Amino acid sequence: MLKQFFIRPKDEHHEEALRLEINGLKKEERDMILNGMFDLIGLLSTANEKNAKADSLFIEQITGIKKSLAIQQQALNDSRKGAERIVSETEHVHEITKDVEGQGKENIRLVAEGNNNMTKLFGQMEKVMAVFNRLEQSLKDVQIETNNIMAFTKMISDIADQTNLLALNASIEAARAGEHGKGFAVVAQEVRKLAEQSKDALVHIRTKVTDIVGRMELLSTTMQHEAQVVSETQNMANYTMTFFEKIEQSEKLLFTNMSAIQQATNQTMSEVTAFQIQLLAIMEATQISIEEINELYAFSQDKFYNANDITSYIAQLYYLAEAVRQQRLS
Amino acid sequence: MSDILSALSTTRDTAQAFREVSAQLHKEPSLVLFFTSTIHSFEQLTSYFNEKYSNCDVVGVTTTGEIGPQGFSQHSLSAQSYSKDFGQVQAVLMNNIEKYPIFDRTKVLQSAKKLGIRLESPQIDKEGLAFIFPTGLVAGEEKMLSIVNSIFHHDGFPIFGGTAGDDEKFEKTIVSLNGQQTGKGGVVVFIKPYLEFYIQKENIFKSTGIELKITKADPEKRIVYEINNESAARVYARALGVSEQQLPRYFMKNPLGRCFNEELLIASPFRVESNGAIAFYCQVYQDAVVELLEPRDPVETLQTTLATFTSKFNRLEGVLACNCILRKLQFQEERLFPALNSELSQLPNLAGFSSYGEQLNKSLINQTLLLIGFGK
Repeated sequence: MLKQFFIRPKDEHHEEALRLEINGLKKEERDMILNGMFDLIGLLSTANEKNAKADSLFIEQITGIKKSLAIQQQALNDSRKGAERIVSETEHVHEITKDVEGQGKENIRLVAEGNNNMTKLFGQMEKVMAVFNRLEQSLKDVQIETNNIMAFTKMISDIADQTNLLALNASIEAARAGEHGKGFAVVAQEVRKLAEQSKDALVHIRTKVTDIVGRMELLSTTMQHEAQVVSETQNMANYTMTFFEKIEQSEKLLFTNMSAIQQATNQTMSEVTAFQIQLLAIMEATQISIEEINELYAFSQDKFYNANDITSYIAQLYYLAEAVRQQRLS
Repeated sequence: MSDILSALSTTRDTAQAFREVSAQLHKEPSLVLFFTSTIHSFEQLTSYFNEKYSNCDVVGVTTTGEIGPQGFSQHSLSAQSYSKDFGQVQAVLMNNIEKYPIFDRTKVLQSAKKLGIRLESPQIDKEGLAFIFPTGLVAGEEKMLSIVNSIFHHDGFPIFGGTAGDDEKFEKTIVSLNGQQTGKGGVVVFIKPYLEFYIQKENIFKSTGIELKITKADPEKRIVYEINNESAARVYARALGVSEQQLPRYFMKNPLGRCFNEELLIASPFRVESNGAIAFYCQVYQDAVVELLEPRDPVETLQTTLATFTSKFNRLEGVLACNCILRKLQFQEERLFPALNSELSQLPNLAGFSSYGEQLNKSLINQTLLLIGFGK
């Protein structure tokens, strides 16, 4: 039965032989063949359905994978944007700390300059104090000298008094001497006059010296007062200097802190950048996966079209077998 | 003169309509396509065209709305002619695509070979293209496609086509080749064009995100019995939030789509059967996961489509269009023809028709506008 059907290769002669064989078939044989064909069509149909079902499941699966990849990609993208924001914020912080650090440097310089100026001022004041001290000593010396002068004037005054007394005694002696003593009496009178004049001059000198002493004392008092003021100012300058030192220390601390912040932000930046690179790598990998999935889609689409074709072929096969059974083309 | 010319007449008188149209076509074309409403006698038109263009292939198709130089039209005659400089053409009639398209496989194969198409070429997409015009109402498109595609050793031969219509009477559609008519067959036109061509597919739908699983179906008969293990109509209606009685009114705007990657293959429901099953305009597979679709703005979508389409050419000579019947009905209902036509009329030498199905390469699709442009 239908030997030719299984002989290869097929050619026109072969087909003709097959046709002869088919025409030579008995009714039972023809029915058997037809039944076999219908069974096979049924089996083909079932197999195709199974295949299509598997294809559908396959598409469902890859659709699921693609969706989750898309979600993942979205999440990665969000992370990437987050990282970008962190980088930009960190850059901002970096800028600020850089400014603060710059400002801190300037502050430290200004404080040092201030401190320096204070030290200079303090030095100047020391010099003023030294001048004051020397002046005070000089005043004291002057006072001693004036006291000495006063002592001398007293001595001179005593001498004048004695001279006056001596001149008086001489006048009396001259009077006793009479005519002979007349000339001497004139000399004694002149000596008394000189003694009187000396005393008058001494009074004048004393007044002047007392005046000088009074002025000296006033000057001394003023100077002491001024010295006090300068001393107080020095104390304040000292106090200010300690503040400057404290400010300098805090500025230095701030500077150190800013440097630490900068280091930290630099570290953050480099870590986030590394993270970004990793993210990009992951995203690229995900993208590749998506592209591979797209290829799978293309395959499944081809399979879908094949299933379409097979369905069409099976239907046509069925119609052909049916036509043979009916012995007519409808 | 352009290598492609098109014309349309809304004159009811068939002889007059033919005269008006043919006056605007090439005198000695290599191919003439005509698309006619059922208001004209197909028989008569076929004989007019064959008499006038006896030296070239003439393909006639009944429609459910025509497309002419000014866009969508109705109850009219549209035609397109291709000059001898356009390219080489070989057409073949398949007599029965409902059951026995296999009988014409040899004819199809020889016709392609005669044109010099190298069937075994791995770069089959560079070998030319084919127009196909299957008759409607016999569920034959997929079978016809399976046979036409079977002649190539590799996948990827460009096939562009539309199913004949009958002005929504759903009684009989006809196609003809060089005077020979068929109500159950189809016409294949192999072309080796000298011009470049580009095919664009437009659908105005997007997914609602609602997924449905076809759990019982007969793909060959295009019937879906169950979705999510329940009566197909019940689940479909529930997904839309409407009653089963209201369901058919939503078919046009909410078809189902199978999503392959970013690409949507639309399956349009045709009618609800008494047992709660739903018949479709194309095969729907058991266990396939489909998505419930909703429309986008048709005018905006067309603008985007045409911008992309025209950007593919430096010089566009002519365009053939196949537009799904359901889109046509929707556009009519929403009175969108004027807005859409002001876009379509910008295409040079446009012709085509509204169809009962659209064919692109290996598949039959629904609710789609297919455009093929020729140019440089």
